[in-house]
Amino acid sequence: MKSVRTALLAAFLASISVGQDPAAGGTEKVRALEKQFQELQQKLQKDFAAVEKLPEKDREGAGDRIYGEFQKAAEQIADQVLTIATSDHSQVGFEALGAALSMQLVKAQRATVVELLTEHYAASASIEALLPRLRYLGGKTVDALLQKVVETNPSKSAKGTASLVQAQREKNESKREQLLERVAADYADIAVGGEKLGDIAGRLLYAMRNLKIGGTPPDIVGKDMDGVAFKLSDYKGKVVVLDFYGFW
Amino acid sequence: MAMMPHERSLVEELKGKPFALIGINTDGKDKYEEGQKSDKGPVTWRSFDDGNTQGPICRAWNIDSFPSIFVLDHEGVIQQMDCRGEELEKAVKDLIAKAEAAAKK
Repeated sequence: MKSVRTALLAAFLASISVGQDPAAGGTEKVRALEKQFQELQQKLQKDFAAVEKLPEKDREGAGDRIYGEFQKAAEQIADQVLTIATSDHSQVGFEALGAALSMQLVKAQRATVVELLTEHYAASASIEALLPRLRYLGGKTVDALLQKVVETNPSKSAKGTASLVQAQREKNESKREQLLERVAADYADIAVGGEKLGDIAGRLLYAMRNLKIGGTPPDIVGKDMDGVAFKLSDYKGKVVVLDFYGFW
Repeated sequence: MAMMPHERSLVEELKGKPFALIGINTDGKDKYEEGQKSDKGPVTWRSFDDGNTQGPICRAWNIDSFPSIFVLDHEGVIQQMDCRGEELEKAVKDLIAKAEAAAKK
């Protein structure tokens, strides 16, 4: 089994390295690399499913090996995407950076993405779509990129989105409150992902102020898993544990 | 879901007490039904069906990590957040004692 898998992986890696010529860039190349990454993820899932069928003692080793192979292949695909982004500073380069952000990146690759976005696209209206993906990326360079968008981007909706992401990243509670209030004041009617920034900031402020120890949360009104309507307030007089969960 | 076995035993132990464990489920009905039959399940407490991790209840409560736990006293005030295991059990039992004492007055 192992030699078959290794042979398949070798063939797969060989197919990726064809067309490494950076001059052959272009939207199609970016799309092709995105597709390669998706196929790699699907292969990973299939391989992990096969691992579940192994005897228990063999699973951890097999799983680690498979994931290691995945990481190596993913890094190579991302390197090719970043080669395009490094040499093209127009729409194609921007598409490559968007593609990179939806891939598995190592630290140095993430740093390159942020650097290129900051240098070439901070004032581009299309950067708005990528900003939410920066929310959980660590580092002052991401904060600097967001600030540059706020200061130099001509699109109010990009500025508003950047301001919201800045607020969500802020760890200091009272600073976060201030930033959210500013979003609610300056960008109230800007719609992002079907919801107005004023409403998003409003509910984040509400949660911050009320959903904490000593706070009284709003009622929850909804249906249970059998479709029967019920409310949190039906349980007044009882101690309640609320558990937000999933089997996933 | 590492918490489920403990939650099942708490629900069982506290039957008849002024206590309710209420879930906000983010699987959607189909995945929930699968989960109920899996060896992680079953969930033996009532859950709101929020559809997914971006459902209206999750958004209203600003939930961005799972599981998220809130412990409310008998008057609906939040007294603990994000506790597990023994810490959760102690918080719940202390609040039940307070609720029972208040009911006697």
